[in-house]
This record gives sequence, C-alpha cells and structure tokens, in this order.
Amino acid sequence: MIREEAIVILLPVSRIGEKVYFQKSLPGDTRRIIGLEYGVTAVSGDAIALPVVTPSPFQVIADKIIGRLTLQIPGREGIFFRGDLMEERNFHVNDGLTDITWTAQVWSHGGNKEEIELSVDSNTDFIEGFFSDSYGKDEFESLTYQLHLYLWIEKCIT
Amino acid sequence: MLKRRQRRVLDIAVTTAGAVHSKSVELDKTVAKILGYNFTSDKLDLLYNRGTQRLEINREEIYADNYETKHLISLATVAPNLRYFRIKGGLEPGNHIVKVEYKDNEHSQYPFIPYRVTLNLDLEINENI
Repeated sequence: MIREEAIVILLPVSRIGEKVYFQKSLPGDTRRIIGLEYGVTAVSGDAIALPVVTPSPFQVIADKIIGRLTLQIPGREGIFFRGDLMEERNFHVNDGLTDITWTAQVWSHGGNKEEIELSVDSNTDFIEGFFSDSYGKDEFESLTYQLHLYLWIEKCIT
Repeated sequence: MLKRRQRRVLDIAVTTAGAVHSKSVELDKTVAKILGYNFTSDKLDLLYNRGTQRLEINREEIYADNYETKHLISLATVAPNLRYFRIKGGLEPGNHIVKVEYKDNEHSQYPFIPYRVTLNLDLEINENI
C-alpha cells in the first residue's frame, strides 16, 4: 500500500543574504519524493521605511523572492529541484470580493496552496540542500525568520 | 454495500499562547475511508499566522510537527466543493483514531487572544454495517 506523508525541514535564517546548507534524513520506507511546499514564520527585524501602498484590485505589485533553493540526493547525478521560493503579494488583485469596508488579507484571499510537483526515486537515506536568502533585501535593515520546507514523500507500507 | 459521505468536525480550544493543544477523536466503526480534511477557525488571521500542527491518523503521522496550518486552509476565493485537502484514493481509518497536536506560535504582529481551531474531515460511510 502506498501512503503520502510530509517531512518538515526547519531552517532558521538570521542574516540578510545568509546561505544555509542542510541535510535531512528520509524514512527507510521512502519510495519517491513527490512534492515540495514552503512557508515562512517568526519574521522579526528592522524594516526600512517605505511608502505605504494601499492594495487596490487593479494594482499589481512585485512578488517577493524569499530565496533560492537547491535540493539533491547525495551521490546521485544532478539536482532534483532548483528554483526561487516566492511570497505572493497580489492576492488582492481581481478577487471580486473586496469593497470599501473589507480589505483583502492574505489569510482570506491567499491562493490555493499547492505543492511543486516532483517525481524522484529515492533509494537513499537522506537529501541535502542549499538555501540562499534574499527575503529582507531592499526592505529590511536586519531580519530573522524561520523557513519551513515540506517535502512530500510516497511510502511503501507492507 | 451502500456508501455515503459525511462531514465530521473536531474543535480545539486554543487557550494558552505558545502552547501545544492536543485533541483526538475516535471515528465511528462505519467509517470506511477518510477522503480529505481542512482547517478553519473563528479567528482566521491567528490560525493563518500563528498555527502549526501535527496530524496523526491510525497512529500514522500524516503531517509532522511544525507543519504550518495555513497550507490547509481554503477560503472565500476557493470554490466550496474544492476546499478539502484530498487524500489520493482515500485513507482507511485503521484504529479509527484521529489525533491533532495544534501549536500556537508567537507572532509580533498578531497578538494572542483565545481562539478556536476546527479540523473538518470528509468521510466515506458504509451504510449497512
């Protein structure tokens, strides 16, 4: 029987531009790696004073790049994921529900959270990864946060 | 055998800031499969920004500690029939026990007040057991 499960990887980031190398062991019955999700918590720092922009249903702003992530299985050829982790900032655009008395919030209008689909055989004990931060760039003097990576795996249950 | 769908809720009262609140429920023996789940709350901004959880079904860990609850919320911009997180092929309930360990995490912009977290389960029921 096949089961799906999420493995959590926590990466504390304490400096803007920090680069983090990490390893994570996989359960022994892992058959495949099938997806990746991510999120950010415990954000704290000194923000640079920027002009306040009131979200409008017609105004598109740039999404923020949290950082660049690379994942690979040690000893195997090639990497299986490389990409920018993004923070969505246009959840308010064209939502069709916002009015004067109710402003769109990320927790009410954030898009459906879907994992990045991967398909990687995993006859191995662990994966390794490299994260390069850019979350606080141009917006913070100093910033600390915790990056959560969720690796979805497929397990073979006997 | 006749099958029908049923929704079941599990409420967790979050009364202490920064603490883990555990709750488990034993499903009826007529439950054949768990098809999906999602989370809601009476203070969605707190659930979104402060919540992480561990979810266990039949003593099997589906989500490990520190999985952010915000990934399991679907709200106004998602069609009602798409709001549940689907388990591919459904999950047999085994010992029929579902356990949630919800953790409230400090967040400077969203100060704590007591709130409620609800786990919604989408179940398939065997009618004539």
